Amino acid sequence: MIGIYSHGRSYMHLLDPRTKLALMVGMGLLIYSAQLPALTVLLALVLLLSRASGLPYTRLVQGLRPVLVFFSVIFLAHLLFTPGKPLIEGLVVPTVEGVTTGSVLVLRFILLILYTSIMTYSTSPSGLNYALTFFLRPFGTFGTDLAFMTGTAMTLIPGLFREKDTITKAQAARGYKPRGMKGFTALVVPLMNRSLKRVDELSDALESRCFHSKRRYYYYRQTLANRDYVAVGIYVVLAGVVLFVRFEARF
Amino acid sequence: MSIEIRQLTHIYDASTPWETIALDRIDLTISKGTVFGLVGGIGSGKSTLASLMAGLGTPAHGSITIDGEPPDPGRNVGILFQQPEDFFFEKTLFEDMASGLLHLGLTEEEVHKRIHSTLDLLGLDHQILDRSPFHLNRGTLRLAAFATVLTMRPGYLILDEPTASLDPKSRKRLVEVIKRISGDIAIIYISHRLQEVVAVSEYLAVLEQGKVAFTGTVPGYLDWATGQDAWEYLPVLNQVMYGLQRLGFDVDLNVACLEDAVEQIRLSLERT
Amino acid sequence: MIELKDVYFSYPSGAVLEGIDLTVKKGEYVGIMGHNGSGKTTLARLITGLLLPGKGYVRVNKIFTTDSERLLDIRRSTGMVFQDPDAQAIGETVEEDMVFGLENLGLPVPEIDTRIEKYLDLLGIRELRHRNIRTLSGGQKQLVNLAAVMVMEPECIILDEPVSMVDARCRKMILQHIARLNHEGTAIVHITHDPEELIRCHRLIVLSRCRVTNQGTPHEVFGQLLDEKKMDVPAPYAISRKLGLSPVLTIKALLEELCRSRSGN
Repeated sequence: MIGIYSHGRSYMHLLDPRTKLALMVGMGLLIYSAQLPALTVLLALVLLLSRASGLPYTRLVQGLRPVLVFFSVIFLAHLLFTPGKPLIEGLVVPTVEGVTTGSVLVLRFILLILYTSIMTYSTSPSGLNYALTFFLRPFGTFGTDLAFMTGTAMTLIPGLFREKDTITKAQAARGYKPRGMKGFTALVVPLMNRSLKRVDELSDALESRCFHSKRRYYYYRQTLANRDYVAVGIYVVLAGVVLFVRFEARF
Repeated sequence: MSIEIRQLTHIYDASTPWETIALDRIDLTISKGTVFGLVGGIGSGKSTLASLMAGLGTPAHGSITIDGEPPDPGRNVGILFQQPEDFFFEKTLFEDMASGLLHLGLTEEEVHKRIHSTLDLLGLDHQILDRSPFHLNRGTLRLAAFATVLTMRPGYLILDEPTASLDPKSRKRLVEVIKRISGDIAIIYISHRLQEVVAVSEYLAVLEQGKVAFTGTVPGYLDWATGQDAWEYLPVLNQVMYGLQRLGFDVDLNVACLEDAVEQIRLSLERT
Repeated sequence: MIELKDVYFSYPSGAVLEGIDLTVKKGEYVGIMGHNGSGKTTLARLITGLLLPGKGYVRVNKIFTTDSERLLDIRRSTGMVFQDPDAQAIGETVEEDMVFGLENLGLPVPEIDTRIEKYLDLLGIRELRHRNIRTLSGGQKQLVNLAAVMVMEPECIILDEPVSMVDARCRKMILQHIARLNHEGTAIVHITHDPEELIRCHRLIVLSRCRVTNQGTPHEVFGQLLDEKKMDVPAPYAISRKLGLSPVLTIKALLEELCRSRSGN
């Protein structure tokens, strides 16, 4: 699940947050450029990293559940509407090309979520904020503000899911079925209501703890260690392999 | 005629580092025709138990039956959530109260009848029906939310922290209504305030970190808490009486109000 | 150190505070009692400058809360703990949550380390240091919230219904921590509807219908409230008065008083 951190001393936990953030961006680029054979390599790697960070596979997969429907729709759309060699006869025909493009696209989304899950699992929000501010430093206070806002928004996400759950239940208890436009307003109006309250409370808490825009993250600052260079090295090799495979696949 | 809870366990985020056992092998029987109090601090599992009893969500293990059947919200059980005034969203209060009932398949005539009779029961002004829920004060809205659940005519009604953040006047009114209707509807009154629960209920259960620490009658609870030597679990008045008993005063532990306690102590002092 | 002078405040729905005068001296423990809707929470938020008065002024260490340039100095000297244990955590783990405030103060890392160690021990929550706050019980969360404010070592801590959502055992523990904190020199403004929580305060103020209606030592104020029958007073106080004993606030004192009166007979 994206956005939930757990304290630990695994290899992934000990990496410098900056290394992890940079590699995360790098992985995103790789995922974006990879085709099917390379994507399976990246999938294998994510399972390996999950092990190395101590995040159980069941939990890793659970993070995909909320977006399952979304993925199915994307896959189906590609399956049915990609022109090419038909799999069966009919009015709307699934094609061989559809299967490939559909699965590549869905696999890319899945990989992005899995890699992000591992990063947020093994990096404390403060560490992440520190890394973000480090990289956004060239943009001045705008950068640090942006980093802080991103970090804070992340902490609100799990709460939002919990609220959604409570509201669905409360409305169901009143006889509402979450269907159609009515079902949507029945969820969204109270959700807005409660989220605004939550944001209010959070801003009060921030202010009374002396938050100010010139603050810096330094307690979780690390110095780059050997393991960081090793991780970057592994990434470079991996990127070479992935780009090579892609190159092969094209011709 | 009762709610039977057997070996109920509920776990959030199972098999992860954030795994929390909300309910741990709960056994409870709640009979009809009483006010049953459920006491526990925030995070004791009482709200989880409330949702499950109301048929919202599936427990990880164990079972809940209401008069032999599974809980079905809107049919055999109703629930008033914490801060229920947040869940209104329609243009007028009437629409908000009615649309749930219409979903249940009642005729418009029946819906009108039920809403108006429930407002009478709670002593609410019928004019509020045409107002927007966003323009009414918290106390009125809380009563209106309470009325909404009542219109569904549940046999069992679960109230989760019904008086939280209400001013004393609204609080008193709500408690009066609860006492008034408790003859016809079995009420499960959930609160973290022991004093409040003891004042309205005949039976009670104490939840602590997902386990039932005590269940029984109110006087039985006082005995239990003193047996545990857990002073802080008693309402202050009973703490005083308990302290006096231990010092050899001839007083009854189970006192209803301040005057009662004062009278007992006075008599005991005169006897010595 | 805190000074409110003729403060008015109103929301669009109506006035909440009218003509409030209040001072809190260094190291003082002030209790503010009132029902829900009496304006208690608004008062707390006015003190730290989260809200600004419509009329009159609020000063903390001689700084007006309207002085936005120096608002941070006010926040440095006042910490605040809110009612809902779930709504105050900023970090994911306990340690992170405590670090957040200390980074805001700009303390050097070794100083942050010693302070965190000190307050984790003081509150007896050392073993929670690396726990994700979401997995803690409600009472533990509130202890952590208190720790995160205490660790910043403000001159005054404002507590808005700090124990009204936690269970009996945690409640007792948190109240003890508050009393000790005050004993060691921190000023406390403790806001609540429950008189039993305020038996240790030096000065008690009652808010009712937007105004201060009673003010004085707990003995004086509870005495007035008992005569006026307006609001609850601690049970031991009511019992001792009704039995004609010398008035006491704690159960322990009441029991002692009753034993004395029994042997006197």
